[in-house]
Amino acid sequence: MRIPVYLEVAQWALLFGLGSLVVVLYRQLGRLLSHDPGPANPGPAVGTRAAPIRYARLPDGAAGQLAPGDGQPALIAFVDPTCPACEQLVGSLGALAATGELPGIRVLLLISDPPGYLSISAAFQDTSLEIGRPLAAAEVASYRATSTPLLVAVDGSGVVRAAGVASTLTAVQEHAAFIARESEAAV
Amino acid sequence: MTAVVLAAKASLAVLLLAAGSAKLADPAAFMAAVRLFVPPRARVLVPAGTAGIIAAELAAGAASLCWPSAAWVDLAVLALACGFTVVAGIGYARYRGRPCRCFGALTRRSFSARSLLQSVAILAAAVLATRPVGQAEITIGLTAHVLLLAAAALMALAAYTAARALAMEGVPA
Repeated sequence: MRIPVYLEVAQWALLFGLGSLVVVLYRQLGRLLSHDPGPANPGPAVGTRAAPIRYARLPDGAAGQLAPGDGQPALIAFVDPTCPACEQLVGSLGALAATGELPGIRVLLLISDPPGYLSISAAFQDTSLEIGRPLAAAEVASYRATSTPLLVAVDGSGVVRAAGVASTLTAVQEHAAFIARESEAAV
Repeated sequence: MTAVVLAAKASLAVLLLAAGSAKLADPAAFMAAVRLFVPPRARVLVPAGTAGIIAAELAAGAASLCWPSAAWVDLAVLALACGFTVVAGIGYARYRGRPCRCFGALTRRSFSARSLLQSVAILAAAVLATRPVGQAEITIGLTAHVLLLAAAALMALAAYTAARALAMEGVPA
């Protein structure tokens, strides 16, 4: 009995397809075994001094500056408009700010994308929080924002009190709690 | 020539199964890529559109692999390939460097000249796959249909598992 050509071709296509997946997984495995995967928790070390950041405010492009140590605590969020968890973080920060749960705390969203990317996400487009695009990569390098969303809590004296991946209301509240007492006293 | 046409057909089917399953492993990330191409007023349609694209890829891939004699499937695959090329073209023009997540977490490729060339190659293969071939070469029995369906499911599961494992790495900044 003669086997249809299609069956012979299809089995080769499937073999190559599955083989490609094996190669992809082995490459990844090799990368993980031979390279340092980096810090499990991105963000600056707690207790270190936060670096000042100059940025262009979005969408108007006005110059802005974050100067840790100026007496005002700050929540700095490193976000990306195409990242779903970042949208959640923007929503959480906006909700807490709107209900007065972040008294005296400056909230700054930092993105590395061009201004046009704000329109990708309704959460970024509609937020009343301040959004900035850092002007110098060297200034934000010390924040070690290797993944997004990254939330950094800096107290009034410019010291990092908490840093890590956060998106939910609870996570934001936990970060804010590290600097809230001080800000309430200031208010 | 028949073998080339059938190879294009089977390869596209496997490609679609892998792409659809990989996207299914991390739908939120693919949704973010879809949002790039949807105007703000229509963003509410993004979840449904994302699900539709994934379902269309899986269905077209499985049908093309298991029912090679169905001509309408070739046209559906051609329509998908046209869509991929349009998206790759717009992505190259407007969102160069952004992750396209065309194969979920299986690749970290971004919209680029290379991705545009790849989509044109896929389109060429889809056009080739619509060429008629002798019925004797593509007529298969019930057992072969069932076995191919099982192979398609295995392929989809393998791609899903691989993409899921790779997606656990997180989102690079």
